[in-house]
Amino acid sequence: MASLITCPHCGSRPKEEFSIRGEVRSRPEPAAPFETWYRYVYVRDNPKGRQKEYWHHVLGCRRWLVVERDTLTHEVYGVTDAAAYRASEVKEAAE
Amino acid sequence: MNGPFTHRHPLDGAISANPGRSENHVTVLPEPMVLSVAALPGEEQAVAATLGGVSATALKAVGPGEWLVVLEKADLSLQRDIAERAGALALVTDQSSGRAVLRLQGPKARAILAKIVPLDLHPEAFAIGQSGNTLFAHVSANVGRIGEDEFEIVLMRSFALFAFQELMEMGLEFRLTAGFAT
Amino acid sequence: MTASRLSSGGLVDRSRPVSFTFDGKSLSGFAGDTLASALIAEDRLLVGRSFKYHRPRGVLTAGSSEPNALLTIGTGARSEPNTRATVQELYDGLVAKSQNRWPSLDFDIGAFNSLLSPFLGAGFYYKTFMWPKAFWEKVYEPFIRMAAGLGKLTMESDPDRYEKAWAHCDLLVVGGGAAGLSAALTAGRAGLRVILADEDFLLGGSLNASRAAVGGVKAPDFAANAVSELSSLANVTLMPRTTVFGWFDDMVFGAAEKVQKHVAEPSHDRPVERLWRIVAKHAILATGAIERPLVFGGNDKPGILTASAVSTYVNRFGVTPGSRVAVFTSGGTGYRTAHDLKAAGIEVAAIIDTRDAAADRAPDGVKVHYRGAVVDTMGGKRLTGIITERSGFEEKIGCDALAMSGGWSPVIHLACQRGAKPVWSAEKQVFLAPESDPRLALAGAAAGLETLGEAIADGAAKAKAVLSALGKTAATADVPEVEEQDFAGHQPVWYVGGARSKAFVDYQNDVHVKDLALAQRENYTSIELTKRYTTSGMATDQGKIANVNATGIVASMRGVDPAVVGTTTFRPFYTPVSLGVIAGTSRDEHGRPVRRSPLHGWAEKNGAVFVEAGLWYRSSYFPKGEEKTWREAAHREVMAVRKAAGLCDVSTLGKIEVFGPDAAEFLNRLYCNPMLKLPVGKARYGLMLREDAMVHDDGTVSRLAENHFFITTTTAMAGEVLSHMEFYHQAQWPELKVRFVSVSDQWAQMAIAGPKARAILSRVVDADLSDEGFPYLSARDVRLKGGLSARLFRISFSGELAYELSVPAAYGEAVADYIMECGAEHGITPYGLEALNILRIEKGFVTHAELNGTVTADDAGYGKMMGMQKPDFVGKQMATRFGLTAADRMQLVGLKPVDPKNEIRAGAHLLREGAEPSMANDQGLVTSNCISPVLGHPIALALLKSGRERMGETIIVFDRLRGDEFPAIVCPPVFIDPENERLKGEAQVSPQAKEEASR
Ligand SMILES: [Zn+2]
Repeated sequence: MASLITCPHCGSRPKEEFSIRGEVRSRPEPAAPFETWYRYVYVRDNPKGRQKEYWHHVLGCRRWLVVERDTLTHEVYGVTDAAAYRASEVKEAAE
Repeated sequence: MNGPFTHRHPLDGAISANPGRSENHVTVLPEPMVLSVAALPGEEQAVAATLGGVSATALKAVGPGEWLVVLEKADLSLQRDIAERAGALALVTDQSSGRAVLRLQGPKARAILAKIVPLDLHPEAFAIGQSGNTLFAHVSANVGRIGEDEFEIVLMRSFALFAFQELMEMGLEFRLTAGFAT
Repeated sequence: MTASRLSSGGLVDRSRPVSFTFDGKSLSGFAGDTLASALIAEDRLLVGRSFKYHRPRGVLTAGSSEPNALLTIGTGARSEPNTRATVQELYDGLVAKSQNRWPSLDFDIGAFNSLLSPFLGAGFYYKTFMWPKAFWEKVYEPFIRMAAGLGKLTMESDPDRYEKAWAHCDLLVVGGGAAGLSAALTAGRAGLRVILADEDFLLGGSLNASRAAVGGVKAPDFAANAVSELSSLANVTLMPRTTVFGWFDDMVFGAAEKVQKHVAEPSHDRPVERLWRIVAKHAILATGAIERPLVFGGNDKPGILTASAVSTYVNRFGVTPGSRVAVFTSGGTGYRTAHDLKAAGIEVAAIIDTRDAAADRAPDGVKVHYRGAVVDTMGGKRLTGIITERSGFEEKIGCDALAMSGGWSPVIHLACQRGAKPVWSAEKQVFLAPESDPRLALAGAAAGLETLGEAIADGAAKAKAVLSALGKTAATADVPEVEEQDFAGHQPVWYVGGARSKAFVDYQNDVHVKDLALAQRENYTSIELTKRYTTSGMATDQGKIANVNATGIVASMRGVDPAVVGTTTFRPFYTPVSLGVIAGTSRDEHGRPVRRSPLHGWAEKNGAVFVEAGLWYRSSYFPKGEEKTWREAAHREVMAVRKAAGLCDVSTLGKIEVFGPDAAEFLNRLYCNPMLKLPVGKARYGLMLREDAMVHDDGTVSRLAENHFFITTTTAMAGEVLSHMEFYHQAQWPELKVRFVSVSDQWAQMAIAGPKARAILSRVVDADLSDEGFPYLSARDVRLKGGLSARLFRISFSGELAYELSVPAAYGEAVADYIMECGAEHGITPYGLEALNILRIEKGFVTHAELNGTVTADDAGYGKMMGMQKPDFVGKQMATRFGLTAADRMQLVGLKPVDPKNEIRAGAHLLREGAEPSMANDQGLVTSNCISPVLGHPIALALLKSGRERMGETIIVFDRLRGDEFPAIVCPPVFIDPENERLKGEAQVSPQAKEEASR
């Protein structure tokens, strides 16, 4: 029927407004070793349980979101704008 | 400024010339002005400040730092003003040709939209001046409340005919009528 | 006449008679009847034949758990099989037919199956129809289907409309009985947004069948008063005739509303059914309880009903299923029914009570048989009596109806649909829903409570809990006083010993106690296996009647507690939901959106034949005069472009404006070829890769100002490319100061191609279009004569001198008309997708036919274009990996057949001469093909292993499906004008090319 995702910009919306890209992966530095790139492009953890995923609010604000949820129960733990997520990740890496 | 070229609306031919008007009615704006304003990252607030002159119901929320300015007809001085003040901080594009603007009004407006959009349109949840992009039939549209019983729907031109026909079908039970604004 | 309408009483409107037919016979009832109550009033107790043994069956219940009274309602395209008569609202002109009988309900040849019943036990088809295998499809299955089929579907298209809608509320109350009304009143009075849904057309639930007094008025009046108060509250929405069938993620509930299932001729302005997706902050399930039949010998004769059903028919509908009714019960419920019967003046034959003794008081003069057991029943198509046994003594009791009660099972289905397992309550001897979500509560009988007073109080209490969770307070609620005789609970008897004939557990699937025993003996002891082996609980009622009894029986047989056996899994839908309402509006032209180009009107005027391309309607070709095939038209259009000029609608391309100080850097990272140094006023071909180095899309990039670009994508990938750009900007490089917006719908875009293009456009565009003033790959804002703003690009997808002109979409049609007018003297011709395709194949330009997701830039011949010296771009890292640089990768080539009569068709495989056609020998495939109007013979583009090294080689084109097998020559993919002379236009065309083009 429907599942709902609370977009930080648009509020609660049905899953039909989103497209899902799968688990969150940050793109390696261009100079990263081939193995790192290989894992980034081809390898997914595919956990049963908690996972961070990219959801694109394609029929809404067109922002990419990081949705942390349980792949088994669809319990959603948090939704962040992907740009904010990336920025905080970069900041963490720098610290 | 458009030379010999006649303007065509995507709903030309889809609305009868003499539609009549029931208490639930769709008014189609024949030549609206639609501007898209999308702020560069970090400039969202500065750009928002330049849009202060736009009324709350004319300023549509699209996403963070992104708006549509929707007016009944071209306002070249406002367009120039926005371009001048926001032009360096935001991508301002004219979408007047690319969008169709419909105003759905009547006591059953909400009941009709409940069949088309998933949003909670109860006045407590969706007040006058509120708007957003959302699923509309099978396509994306911007839906905003512009009056107690009145909603403005901004459709992509290519989908306008399809979405309009869906809207009219969902309005059948409430005798929904439609006509161009005169 | 035994079953009949009582002379008074009930909530039916006796002033409004309603006529209907059953198996062709005209009958009548009253407004407010269900089909079942009207049939009982007409003494029609036999309503169907059972699934397997074709036993005569009658109405068993008065609600949605009904397993027997499944009828086909309506005629022609509107006939709907398997409709439960017990929930079908009676309407004038209703046409009902019984099912699963031949030739008639009273004389059914299939009943012969009953004689075969020793061979039709549980698992019979697994055992019997195993061998020979070929017999399954041809003999056994058709036989089983004919003998056992339920109602038949009409093969006509559904003439009615269905809709889907969304609803939002603070509190959803499922069930409009005592607990539900009480919950809705408490929440509604406190101002919550409340939705109250109930499957019945009359709200009130068991209140409508009760003789109790509630708050000083009769129970049905209390319900009616509550409903009228609720309807007066603007914040409360009442949804009768609406079954909440499922609880989904995030407190979304699915519900099916019967909008016009109670009229003979539905109005086309409204749907017949509506599917609701209800988003609730909280929900209270006041779904009541289902009364269990007792499992005893001969318990399926027409005239045997559950006790609560008898009470409902008598009290709510004013009909009685018999004139002398016996009661068989394991608890107080049977006594209540005995009193209801007595109060209505119907004779109660006896009460057979399975308990040793009871505090329950029987009506005066009615004999109670404690420790009693019904072991068999008498009568054929109608009950005539029961045989009881007590301490070895047999007694025959004459009666024409039997009210039985095995106790109550709370309706916990919705609460258990998301994986929560029911919990056995040893105290109440019922399965209860576990607490699984603080936003969902059960109230009243659904929570295992037994009396009206408890239910009303519980509904109010659960609503108060919701109020406090939402930070609101309840108005001082006064829970009304209930005056009702006390009845004891039940001591479950899962099956009654000493049965002398079949004791049915699942009526609809004809599963009896011995079937369950057989399953245990054959080791299918898990309840899930027992269910599938015996089919108990697998009928359309999904075990509402059977499942708890089956669990109890299996527990007894295994000598364990019902808690150990557990239940089978609850899943949506609670009751059957029509496919029509699930599809909603998504059928016919509403199934998917249609996109129209701003030049649609222009194309129509020019006689276009349209083709669906994705969601778009695009002009395929423009037939003229005598032209009969697309090819004739397309070849004429191609030659017009090559010799004079053509106009093609390319508005469907994706168009994106990219802006900001980092716009060039952003595009430089997105495209594999360099973009940083693209000059202002220039366009460039751009190739986007995916991160795995396969080509994602191609298009053009135009720099309109230092920090302002305009890019195009292919039609098919427009949405994908925008999402791709958004992903890289937002999720990977948010530090880049860039912003982009789709302007696809804003611009009408047309290609004007051919040697006369310049001459024609010079009359339209207010700019110097000479080679010096507007050289190849120019891209600029221009004005049309008269002042209209436009954008002009000198790019070509045909190899000819060509421009693409963008104008605001609203003026697209007028501008196209004007160009046609200006070009008439030069022979301008509209051309469509087919001609466009031929033009580009002749020039070896690729589309997604070639760029199929397995093709790298190098495979497509664009290897040198990649800016490998750039620090980074999407796809760079993988482009050099092992496997993507292998020498035997498939590369883009052209093909010409050795014999020009052989048309090379896309999809064909390529083989070396003499090689066996096998996957191991596969050399590649044909991706695009046409007959070149310029060259006069078939040509094709193909992907061929090491293709670029194999120019001149003869290769076999092999297509087993279409029977093609012939030789072709490998050649460069550019078939005409490899020096691109023609791009310059008429003046510059070499005599050789001219000759070629005119051939
Ligand atoms: Zn959003």
